[in-house]
Amino acid sequence: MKLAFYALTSCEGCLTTLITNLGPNLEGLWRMFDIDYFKLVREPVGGVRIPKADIAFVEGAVVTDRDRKTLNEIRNNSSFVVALGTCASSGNIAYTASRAVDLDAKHLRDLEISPAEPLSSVVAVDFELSGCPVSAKEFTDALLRLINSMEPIQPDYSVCYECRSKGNPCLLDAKRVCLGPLAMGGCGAACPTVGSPCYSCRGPAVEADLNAYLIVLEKKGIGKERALMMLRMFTGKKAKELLKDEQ
Amino acid sequence: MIQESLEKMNPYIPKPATVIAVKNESLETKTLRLELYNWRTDFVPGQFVQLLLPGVGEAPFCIASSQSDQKHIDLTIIRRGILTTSVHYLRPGDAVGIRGPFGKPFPLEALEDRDLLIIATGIGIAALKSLIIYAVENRKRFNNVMLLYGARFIEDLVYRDELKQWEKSIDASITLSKAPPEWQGLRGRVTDHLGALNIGKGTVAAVCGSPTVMSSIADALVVHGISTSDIYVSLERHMKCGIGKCARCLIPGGKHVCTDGPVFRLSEISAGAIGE
Amino acid sequence: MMIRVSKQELLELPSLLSAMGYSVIAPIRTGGIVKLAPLGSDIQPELEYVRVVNSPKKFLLPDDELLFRYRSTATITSYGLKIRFPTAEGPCPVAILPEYNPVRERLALFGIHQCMVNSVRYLDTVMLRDPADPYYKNRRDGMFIAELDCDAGDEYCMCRTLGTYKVPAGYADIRMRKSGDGYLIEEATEAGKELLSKLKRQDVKGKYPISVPKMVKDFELVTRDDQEIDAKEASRSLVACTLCAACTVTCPTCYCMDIEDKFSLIDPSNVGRTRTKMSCQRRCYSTIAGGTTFLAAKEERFKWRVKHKFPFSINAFKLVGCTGCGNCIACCPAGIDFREFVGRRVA
Repeated sequence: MKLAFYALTSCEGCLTTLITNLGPNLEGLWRMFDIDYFKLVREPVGGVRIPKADIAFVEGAVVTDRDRKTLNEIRNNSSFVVALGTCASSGNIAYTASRAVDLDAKHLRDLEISPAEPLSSVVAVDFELSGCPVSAKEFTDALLRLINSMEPIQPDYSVCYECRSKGNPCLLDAKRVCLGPLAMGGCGAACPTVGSPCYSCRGPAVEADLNAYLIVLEKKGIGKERALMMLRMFTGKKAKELLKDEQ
Repeated sequence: MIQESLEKMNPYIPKPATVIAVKNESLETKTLRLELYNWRTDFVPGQFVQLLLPGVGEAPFCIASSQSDQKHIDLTIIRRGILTTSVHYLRPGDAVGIRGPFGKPFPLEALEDRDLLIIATGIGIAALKSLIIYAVENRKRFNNVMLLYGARFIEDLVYRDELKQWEKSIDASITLSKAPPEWQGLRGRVTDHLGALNIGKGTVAAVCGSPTVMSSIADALVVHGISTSDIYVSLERHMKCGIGKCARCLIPGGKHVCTDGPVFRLSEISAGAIGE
Repeated sequence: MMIRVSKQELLELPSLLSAMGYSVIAPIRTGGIVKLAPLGSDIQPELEYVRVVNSPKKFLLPDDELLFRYRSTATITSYGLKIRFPTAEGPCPVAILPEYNPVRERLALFGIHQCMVNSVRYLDTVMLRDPADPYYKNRRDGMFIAELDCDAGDEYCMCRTLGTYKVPAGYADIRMRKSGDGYLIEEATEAGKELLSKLKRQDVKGKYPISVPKMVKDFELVTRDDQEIDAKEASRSLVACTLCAACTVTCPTCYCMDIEDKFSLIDPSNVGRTRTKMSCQRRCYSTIAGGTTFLAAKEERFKWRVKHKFPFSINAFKLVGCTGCGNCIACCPAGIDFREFVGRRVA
């Protein structure tokens, strides 16, 4: 089975995470699959051409015209396209940031950049794996389900679910803004476990309820402005629907 | 045998079985014939097994074969979710795992020497097939045996060959709610044809179908004078363990479908339990 | 036998337990909260606490527990996304050969309150009834419980109403309570006797005192019936519910589980069947093939949780599933209080 890993405009952090965090699984990945395109690891087999692949993992947001062209080519050459990481699934920081600058300014016009978009705004995406960076464990689980012809599963719980089962003290109780109740889980509550609030880097949870969350903040005596700012930071396009009443 | 002692020690461990035949019942339904490897099953009609597809998962299915054959079991499976779709890729020779049989079966003694009415709609007939076969094989133990089988389209009908056999000894009728013009049998829903059947106080009924249909059938049977303690329904729920530990198959009233069911007397479950 | 010891002597008990071969789990204060955790040699158990944010459940029914492994002959070198099932080689289906190696570890729960002892009783009732869950049984057999009496609850407790401040016979091996500037310890089982004999203290005359813990808020149960719960209005207090499932995660008796296959890329034919935690507050709890979700609304999920604790448990196990520990209220970001739903405040 052929796999391919691409990066559009991004920090390539997701692909780096896969290399560093897959551990012993990385060897299995290279042993079992034909990987024709994974620039970070080795020279692509077919040169700059986008090869045919069964599953393509694409990292990064669509920002430049070149991104757009590459992505269309990837879509045409791949049976299954997985958006890898938050940039690819929701636009991440670039989504909001690129809308805050004047892209028509002279020094930017030549770069042929347009406001950042997630992959799904440009092509049909078969599955989205969120996370900034993506979790190597979730990547493995999704891949193993895919090769068994099963659709991968998005976590249907929020960050609180895993945070609470680790027995962490709640940051909201300490009057700190934490997006845990709104954020999609699956990360093992990595940030709150070390005492740093959740920024919802994986996008909103499947059943995120902003209204309920704002009431919670009010009950705890925490202002909502910071929470909304944090929510806009990572969730990009996905927060749009959630925040439509809060503009 | 190793497998049996292992099961006693740990009910979570599946016992091996081999697919020996796959029969296409309808477009979406297949019947798997499984040969049990090195073990025998001792089930009573109404019980279910957990079928394990290696690498895919586990799901409960009612045994749809004769109790007298302890070396084989049949499972009729309609394509719905991931696991049941995977089932449709199975070929003879493939290995699967079986846990069980689990659950409370039909109380055969309570059914014998009475008029037995079996009502199945859609794929619900799979859960009742072992009871139908029992009634056919032990015809003398029952008075009247009536089977009323309802489906939507003619293409949805399963067990066509078996139905021809059963018709010789029991009173079987099929009704289609979306029947084609050339259809010779009954038309409409099963509840439309209850009046034509000879049912009354002495009748016991066994019902299986989709939740909403099942509750309307149950209501209709009560109207026709069958007491709720003589109506048996076979319920289906999402379940994981099969032994009452994971609480996934709880129904209103606090009963576990896996250990207290899947066959319930209508009188022992609350009204909302069938539908919810 | 009942003995009187100083606090210092009481704190020797955990090391005595480890010397007897137990892995000791005790309440530990960390970052402003108290939780049950394995006791290291350099950590002191916390004795002056009201609530632990986790419960014995974490150790008796651990999340992500490997049930067994099996080998399948599946290969994934095929082209395209095709399902490859393990094929029986010859007449013998060698494909599924489960490996099951029970591990024996003797646990000792040190210094847990009555509500948590009662939660062990509830889990026992569910897990040990026929057929017993082998994994749970393995851990539960030979487990040691050193109970520490709680004298006053916080604003979330409800053990007085439910009677769960009483320790059922046979569930605690020793009972401990603060008395003056020291502690009273009573043995309750043979294992407890063995432990106390190591302290070499004189027997104290008298009866082990039984006291009812003080409650900040007192409730009486008014709604415990299936239909009553269904009929009662709950949506108003649930507006703030974020469905974070903290209530079921921190509940000492929520035992709902999922069972799934886990594999790795190292050896995909080696499959591990694992048991993971599940919650009725999650969507997938009640979603079935085809996409129908039985418990779609917040209100339905909340009521399902309450019903599982009261009518369902009373019907199925003859035991109330709530131990009144109050964790679900204390840990709820929205402060949703089920006591106000099932009970009435009494002065």
